[in-house]
Amino acid sequence: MSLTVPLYGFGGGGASLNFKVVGGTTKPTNPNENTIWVNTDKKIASWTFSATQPKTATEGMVWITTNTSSSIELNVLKKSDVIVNLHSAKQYVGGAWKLKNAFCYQNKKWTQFSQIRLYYYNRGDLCTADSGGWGYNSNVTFNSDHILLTGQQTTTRTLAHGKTPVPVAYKTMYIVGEVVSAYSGVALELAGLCNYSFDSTAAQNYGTVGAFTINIDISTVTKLSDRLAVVRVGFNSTIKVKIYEVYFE
Amino acid sequence: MKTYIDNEFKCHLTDPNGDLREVVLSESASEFFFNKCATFIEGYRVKPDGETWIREDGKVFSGGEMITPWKPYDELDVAQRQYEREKLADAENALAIYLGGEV
Repeated sequence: MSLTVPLYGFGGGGASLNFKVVGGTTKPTNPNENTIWVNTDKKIASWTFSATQPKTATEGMVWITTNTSSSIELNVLKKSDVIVNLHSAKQYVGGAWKLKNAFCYQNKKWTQFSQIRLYYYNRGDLCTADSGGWGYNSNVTFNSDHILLTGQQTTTRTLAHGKTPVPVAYKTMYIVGEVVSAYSGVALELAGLCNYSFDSTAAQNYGTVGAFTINIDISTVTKLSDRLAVVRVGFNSTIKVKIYEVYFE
Repeated sequence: MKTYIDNEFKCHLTDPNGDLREVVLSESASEFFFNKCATFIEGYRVKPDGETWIREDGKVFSGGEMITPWKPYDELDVAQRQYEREKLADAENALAIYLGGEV
């Protein structure tokens, strides 16, 4: 059984608690079971576990968000079972909650439960500060909450691409969208990363009609000039794909 | 060109032990690997549509056909450029011989 309970604390841990919260930018060596490491260069003044945003916050406070399920189950007390599911970690810095990378040490290994996400496109927001804006060729329209790609009856794939290469720290690319119509099982084609000549370096093809969320491993493409984010479709005017989100973790 | 994959979806161009799986590439994947050298192709992973691969950090990849390098892409790019230079040199030599008048 798991329940969401508000827990508050100061410092790393406590005598009756079954875990410890630590900060810093280097993964702790020789951690104890249930050590929670929040990757931050800001001092952790206090911490709280809660499914909902704390009503009050102080500079440096860490908020571990909890959920009904997650990849990390934590028994928070030494002498009785109170299980929480860790969902993400945020820290209150400069008047705002900032998402942080965070890990929990269990069964002799670290598991990441909180990851900073970088958006290049988010439901109408071009995220220009990070994406550099979007380039595109024919048959691309930017709508209020999606990019629409329509295929062409030529040898040119309809495409849109972020202008700024994706930072190397990001290992996984996500595309959230909808295949409105496909042609012979072809819709999204060679979507992923490419170089400045638009030659693919890491890609996925997806052709099932309906909503989708796909991800692409980009961890071994480490030169910036090979890391342009691109969404494109196959060669047929029947093909229509809506792109709602493009982000990286 | 026959392409095989192992249990980690890594590409192979031969199956000497008969323990690999032959994979039918999509048209765009075939296009992607067209004119690529063996080192480049075998540095890639092809996860077929509908199957699942789990990266060593636990991240799960499913969805469509995924074509991604498992070796550092830089190394594959260097190998491919060397292959293209060699092919160009071969073509130039053949042209020189032809223009030199040998039939």
